[in-house]
Amino acid sequence: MNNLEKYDQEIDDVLFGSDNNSKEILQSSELQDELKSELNFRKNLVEDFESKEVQELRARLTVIQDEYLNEEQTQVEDKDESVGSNNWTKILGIIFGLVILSSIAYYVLQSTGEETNQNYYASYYEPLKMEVSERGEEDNLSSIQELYNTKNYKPAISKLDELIKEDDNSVWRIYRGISLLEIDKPEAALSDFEKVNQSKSVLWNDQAIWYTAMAYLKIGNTAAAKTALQKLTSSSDSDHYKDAIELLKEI
Amino acid sequence: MKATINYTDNELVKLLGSPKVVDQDLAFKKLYFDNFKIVKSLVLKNNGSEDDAKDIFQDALIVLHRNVRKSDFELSCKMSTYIYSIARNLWYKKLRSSSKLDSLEDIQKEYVDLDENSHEFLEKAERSKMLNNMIDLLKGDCKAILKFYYYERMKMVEIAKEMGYSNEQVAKNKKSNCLKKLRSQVISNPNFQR
Repeated sequence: MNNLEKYDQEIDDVLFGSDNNSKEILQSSELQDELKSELNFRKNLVEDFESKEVQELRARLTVIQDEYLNEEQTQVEDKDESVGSNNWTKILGIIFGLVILSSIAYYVLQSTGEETNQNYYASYYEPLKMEVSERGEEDNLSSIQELYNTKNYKPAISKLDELIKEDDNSVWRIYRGISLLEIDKPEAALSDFEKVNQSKSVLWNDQAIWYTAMAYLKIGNTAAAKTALQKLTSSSDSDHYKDAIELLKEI
Repeated sequence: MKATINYTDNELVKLLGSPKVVDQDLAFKKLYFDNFKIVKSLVLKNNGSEDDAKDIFQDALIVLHRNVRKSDFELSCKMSTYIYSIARNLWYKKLRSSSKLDSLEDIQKEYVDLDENSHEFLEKAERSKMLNNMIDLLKGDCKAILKFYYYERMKMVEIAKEMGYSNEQVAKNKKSNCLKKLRSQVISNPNFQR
């Protein structure tokens, strides 16, 4: 065990200001300089997370602000143009016509688009590697991990079913969903991904959205796939952000 | 964007404190509808432009978001008063630092004295980081683990559950390895300045 590992908890205690005793231990240690440098390193990491959060929040607020200002502007214009209500009938007629035309075009294109969807799926889909158990551990999780990572999806699903009965957790749902995709059951997979989306899992939501898009591509529902992908493009910090941008350009 | 739903102040606090971005954004939309105009009037009446008003309001929401997420946060006045007070403080400090004004002419009588360091927090968050944005160097599970531990202040047992690890010790070992990897990546980064 090196010095940093030895004093790991004390450094974090001082960082979070949660334990005066730890401060004394660090100060009395012969390794003061090394530990002080590590403390600064961790302080910078925390500040980096805060800074990143503020940048992302600012980007989101700018979008919300623009929407709000546009809506305000529209409301002002609506009041000014109250005389032109007849024009609305015409505009609605045009929109209705466009919707009908788009629907026809959509159904014609969709019949030829199924093959393309499968190509996109093949290009972008990759199963998420399972890393829930440490190497050398011999327990139920290791055996599920082994089955899943070696593509033995059916037995992996049986074991994940049991696990979900005991502990309905986003992690198991994600891996069962991917396993279901692998054995050609995208509809069943969607139900698992939907469940993850409903949870408050910070870590797994993006993955669930990405694989939702993959499942829709497999089914041939391009519109639903696009809706899912657009959710991933709202923050550059999303998992699969770049893939989602690229795929959206293509489909 | 339709902000027709009426949330109580407590509901807004809950939405802002939620880890889900969609929840937070619902609150932000509502706050724009209910509070932007008054803040804009304040800024315009006190030597500011419309762009200044947009910036100050955005800064006020960022400060509000940070405050709400503190474990000891308690809203002791109306949400609208709280936002007005944060914005008022920020604009007053900005005016003073540019020597444009010594006192503010208020739009509403109600505001609270906030003993806080909003200005410093925003400046610090904007400052370029000594370690060249270390987060960008993180990969895979590491980003989540370190964020959960150092930013969200989650306990190891919670992290293990969230990540699907078999136990707390696995999470501890992973966190330790991630720090080790990051440390070596940062040190070998040519742009890194000690």
